[in-house]
Formats: sequence, structure tokens, C-alpha cells
Amino acid sequence: MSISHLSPNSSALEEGAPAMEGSFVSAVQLTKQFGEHKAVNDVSLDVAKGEVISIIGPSGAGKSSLIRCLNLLEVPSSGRLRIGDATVDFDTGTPSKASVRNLRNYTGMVFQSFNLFPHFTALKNVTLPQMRVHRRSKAEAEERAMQELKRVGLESKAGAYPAQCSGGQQQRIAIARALAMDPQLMLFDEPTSGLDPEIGAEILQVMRKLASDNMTMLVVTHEMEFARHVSNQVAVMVEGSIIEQGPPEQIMTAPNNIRTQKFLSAVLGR
Amino acid sequence: MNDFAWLYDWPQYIPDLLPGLWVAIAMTCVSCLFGYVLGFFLALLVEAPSKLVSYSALVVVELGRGIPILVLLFLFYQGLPQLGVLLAPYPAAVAALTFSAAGYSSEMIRAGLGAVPKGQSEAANSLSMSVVDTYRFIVIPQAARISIPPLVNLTIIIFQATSLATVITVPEIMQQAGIIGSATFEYMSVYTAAAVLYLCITIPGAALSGYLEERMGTPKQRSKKQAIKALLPAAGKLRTAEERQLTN
Ligand SMILES: Nc1ncnc2c1ncn2[C@@H]1O[C@H](COP(=O)(O)OP(=O)(O)OP(=O)(O)O)[C@@H](O)[C@H]1O
Ligand SMILES: [Mg+2]
Repeated sequence: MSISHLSPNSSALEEGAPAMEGSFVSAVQLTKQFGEHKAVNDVSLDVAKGEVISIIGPSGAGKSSLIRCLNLLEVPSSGRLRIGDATVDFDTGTPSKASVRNLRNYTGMVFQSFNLFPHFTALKNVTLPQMRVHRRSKAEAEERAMQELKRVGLESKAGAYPAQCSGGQQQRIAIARALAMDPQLMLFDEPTSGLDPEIGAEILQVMRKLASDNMTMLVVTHEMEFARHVSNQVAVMVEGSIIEQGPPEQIMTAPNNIRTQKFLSAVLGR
Repeated sequence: MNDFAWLYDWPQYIPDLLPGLWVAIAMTCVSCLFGYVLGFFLALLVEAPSKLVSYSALVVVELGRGIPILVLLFLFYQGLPQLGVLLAPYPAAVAALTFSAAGYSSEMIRAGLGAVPKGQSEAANSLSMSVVDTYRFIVIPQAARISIPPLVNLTIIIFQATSLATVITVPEIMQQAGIIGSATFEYMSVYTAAAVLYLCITIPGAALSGYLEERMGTPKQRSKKQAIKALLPAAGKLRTAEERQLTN
């Protein structure tokens, strides 16, 4: 137990709603509606700098919708969102292009289906966004790209096209591409679901390293081992709402919500 | 006079028809250039979120595709002057061909744009790339692989359709052939020469289109292994669907 728990002030804080001030990401009452259906229903979420939060839950719970709301691939129907110094209020109409850009610049995203650009080599996949968005020179962008490709163990694949790389390699290139943009929050949407388990392990290894480098991460995952051992917090999502959130050990071993228990017994086979 | 003389006579008319060929080629180039650019923007407008914009664009596309080029030629050349718009034969022909090319090409371009997976522009978005950059570097190059072979075919069809412009006195191949024919009465030879000139363009054009289709159309790099991999996300979905049943 940390020292701060001994001080009455901070323990009061921990018991109440997550602290707004110290958090790096703060989503307040986000709702995303598709027609009549609320894929994300009044979700509030705070993420501290350097924190890794795993989002778990059954299919169709709205996990993808939630993290897509965080980089505005889906524009929430209502609520507020702050990442770093960028704030967007969705209650007051469509957000401006500039505010979308500000917010997005904080984030990087890794998709289940990799989404590498198939007509570019691995290197160009990583350099082009840097050159177009951050206006880096080709030399600068390439130096940075090689750095990131090295970080994911793929500097040898720089000249290869995505079709010449395995799924696991493609996903690692996609991670390098996102990292080269200097994100401060990395969003992962089931990054290993399309891969064989042993290949998925490579990806999880890269993510583990990223977590230990203090990257702030939100990870939608079915990998309970990862959720348990790498994340600081696990959020359980069911039918558009986060029904329970807490330290992984507590969620995994002593969940409070009956629906969490049901979900876990289904995926863990207990 | 020998009935078969035209078999060896026709090549002598080729030189007289060449100026007409250049006119036909020029009309094709200009009409397709303007037409495909217009077709591209029509394709974007058809996909626009606003229903009004989308339907208006679709109406323009359907007019371009639905009205025969011959009718368009008469509309632009003889119809418009009644509304105070006087077009010389050449601009009127280019306008008619452009309109038709725009309508047909926009559907081909739309098919190409639609075939680029949504994940591609989402990835570009997630990297903060602008809409224009996303189209320029990510979507259009991939759509082009799908759209270019049919656009080459359309270019051949437009080239053939330039022959219709003879009815509004554009001095293209058929116009020239008609003039020579009525002076010499050697219709068989002259029109054979004209046919050969068209074939000189259309046959290599069709070969080019076939080659491009083969090179661009089929994703050959895609190995069996990757095809199986592509199915795996679906397998993942099955698993999660099971979970859902269990948890409900
Ligand atoms: N673009 C969309 N249009 C309409 N409905 C959508 C859209 N995207 C998601 N939904 C619906 O929202 C709900 C939540 O979907 P979402 O993809 O966020 O779930 P998920 O938790 O990520 O599921 P999975 O584990 O299967 O990926 C589903 O009912 C889905 O059908
Ligand atoms: Mg999902």
C-alpha cells in the first residue's frame, strides 16, 4: 500500500469519483447513438498519464465504439472529452475541425485489421503521415521511422510491402506508424484478435514494452493475461456502459457485479 | 472496273484521312480529360452526406449515361442556339462527349472509391491526415487500380463515338471520308481506310486495357496463407458471439 493511502485527504479522493484534475484523459458522460441504439451510453472515464486500462466485455458491448469516440473516428452524440489540453464539448453541436485535429494529435490508434497502406512499403507507411502532418523532412521522417521499426523489431522489413509481411509483422509496423506521430495516448482495438496466439504474443510483448516505457494506453482486448498482468485498471463494458472498473486482481478474482462474474466465467472457462 | 479493286485501293486514302484522325484523337483527349475530372467530382458528390447534393449529382450522372451521344450532339449544336448559346461544331462535340464521359466515368470512379476498405481512410484519419491528403495519397491511388481498366475501355468507346460528330460537321475521320467518297464514288475503299484508322487505335487500346486489368485487377500478391488469415477475424467474431450467448 502506498503512503498516500495513509493521508485522509487522498483516500477520500480514491473512494469518490476518479479525480478530474490529475487525469490526462477525461471523458464525461459520453454517449454514442447509432439511430435509436446507444452503443456507448453515458460513459465517464478518467485515465492518468502513464496508466494502462484494459477494456473487456462481450461482443457488441460498445468497446470499439468507445475507443473510437476517444479519437473521434466516431463523433459522440453527447458528452465532453478532454485529452491533455484539448477539450471538445459534444453537447454544443458538431466540433470544429481544429478541435478535432488538436484532440487527435494526442492519440494513436492500432486496429484489429492493421489497416496498413498496401501500396506503400513499411517505411513509407511510417514516413508519409509524419511528412504530411508534422511537416518533417524526408530524412527526419525516415530516421524516426527506422527508430520506431527497430523498437518493434522490424527494421529489416523497411523495404517490404504489407502483402510481403505476416499478420504479426503488419501489426507491429502499424504500431510503429502510430508511434512515429508522437502520440501521448495509444488506443488499441483488439490488436491480436486477427492473429494466431503465438503471433499475438509478439504484439503483446511490444505493448508490454510500451507500457513499461510509460505510454498511456487504452486497450480493448480479449487477452485476459494481458489485462491482468500489464494493465493498471480493467474496465468491464456491457451494453454500452462501464459496469465495473478497478485493479485487475480485484476484477479478475473478486468482481462485484454479477454480469462481470458471468462474463469472466464465460471467457475464463470457470 | 474490278469489284475487288478496293482490297488494294484503300491504303491510298489513308493520308487524306489523317487530319481527321488527329481531330478525333484531340476530341477524345479533351473530352476524356474534362469528362473524367467531372466524373470524379460527381462521384464524390453522389457520396455526399446531403441527400439533396447526392440526388442532384445522381441526376446529372444518369442524364450523361442515359442520353445517346447523337442526341447530345444535336442538343448542344442545334438546340442551345435557341437559348442564345451558340457553340461552334468542335466545342459542341467536345461538350456532348464530355457530358457522356462524365456520366459513365463517375460510376466507374465511384466503384473504385467504394472498393477501398473503410479502414484505410480511418487509419489515415487516426494519423491526423487531412481529408485532401487522405484522398490524394491513400484512397485515390488504391481506387485507381480498380477504376483505370474500365476508364481505358471508356476512352476507346468515346474515341469511336467521335465519328458521330460528323453530323454536326466536325472535320473528323467520317466527315473527311464522306467528302472524298462523294467526290470519287470509291465509298468502299474510303470507308475501309476509315475503319482501318479506327482499328489502329482501338485494337492497341483494348490490348492495353486487358493488360492493365490483369496487372491491377487481381491481387496476385495475395497468397493462400493470407486468404486464410483474412478469415481469422471472422473466427474471432464467432468466439465472441459465443461469449455473448453465455453471458446473456
Ligand atoms: N457504424 C455503426 N452503425 C450502426 N451501428 C453500429 C455501428 N458501429 C457499431 N454499431 C453497433 O453498436 C454496438 C456496439 O458495437 P461495437 O463494435 O462498439 O461493439 P464491441 O464491444 O467492439 O464488439 P466486438 O467485441 O464484437 O468488437 C453494436 O450493437 C453494433 O451493432
Ligand atoms: Mg470491437
